[in-house]
Amino acid sequence: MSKTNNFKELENQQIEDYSKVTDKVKKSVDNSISSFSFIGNVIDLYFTKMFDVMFKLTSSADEDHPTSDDNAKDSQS
Amino acid sequence: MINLLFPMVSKINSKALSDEELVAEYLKTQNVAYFDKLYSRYSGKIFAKCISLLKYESLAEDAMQEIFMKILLNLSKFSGKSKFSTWIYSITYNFCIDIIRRKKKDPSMLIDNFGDNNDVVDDVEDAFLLETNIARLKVILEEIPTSDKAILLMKYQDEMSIRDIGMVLDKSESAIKMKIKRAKQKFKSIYQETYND
Repeated sequence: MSKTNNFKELENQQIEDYSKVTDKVKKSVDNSISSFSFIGNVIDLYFTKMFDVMFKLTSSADEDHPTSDDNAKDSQS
Repeated sequence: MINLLFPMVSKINSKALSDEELVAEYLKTQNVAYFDKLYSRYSGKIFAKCISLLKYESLAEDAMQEIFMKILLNLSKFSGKSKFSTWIYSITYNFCIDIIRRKKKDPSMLIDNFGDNNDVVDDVEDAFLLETNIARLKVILEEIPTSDKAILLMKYQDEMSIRDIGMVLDKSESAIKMKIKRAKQKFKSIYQETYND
């Protein structure tokens, strides 16, 4: 292959010409990454807590209201 | 609370790391600094491809942002079977080709043009393309159909192998060889039409 490669030279020229645009896009990408990370952390922190609380609430409600099996055991004794 | 608002960013010594090592470290640590390094290595090249294929700066800007989000969200799917550069160029070319197909601005991007066509064409020397001066190269790349442009950029700008180009376009190696031949011929004919020297 020839030593001169003006396709590469053209690419280098475009990289130089548009360096400000790539910096601008970087900021948008960073913002998206921050948003994704924030949403992920919120889900991780609060939803697990919420499910935990809901689980505890439902299990304590079961204890307050005995099942029919519990009633049968009580009547036998 | 700080961690909640800002993703993990800490200084890394990434100079000596290869692309594949940076990907592995990012997946392991979720440290954005590794992704930043990949961005700085490839953002210019990816934007150059977007602007060459899409022609409009605003369209290329939006495309590049979406391409990098796609890369970030799919990093865990990078298997390492191909080079990292081939993988991200594949995402870039296919994303840009999809945009053009959707907008139907360029009829050359219709699926038929990516089909196999075994017409006999004359061989054009690589040197003819590689040594075309930059100003003329720019003009010809503006004129040439996008499917031919994409394949020439993959071969001469990205120096991708026939096998890798085949993987990107989902075509056999013999089909790619024929497409390169036809694209080179098209390049030469536009050159001769535009510059009568």
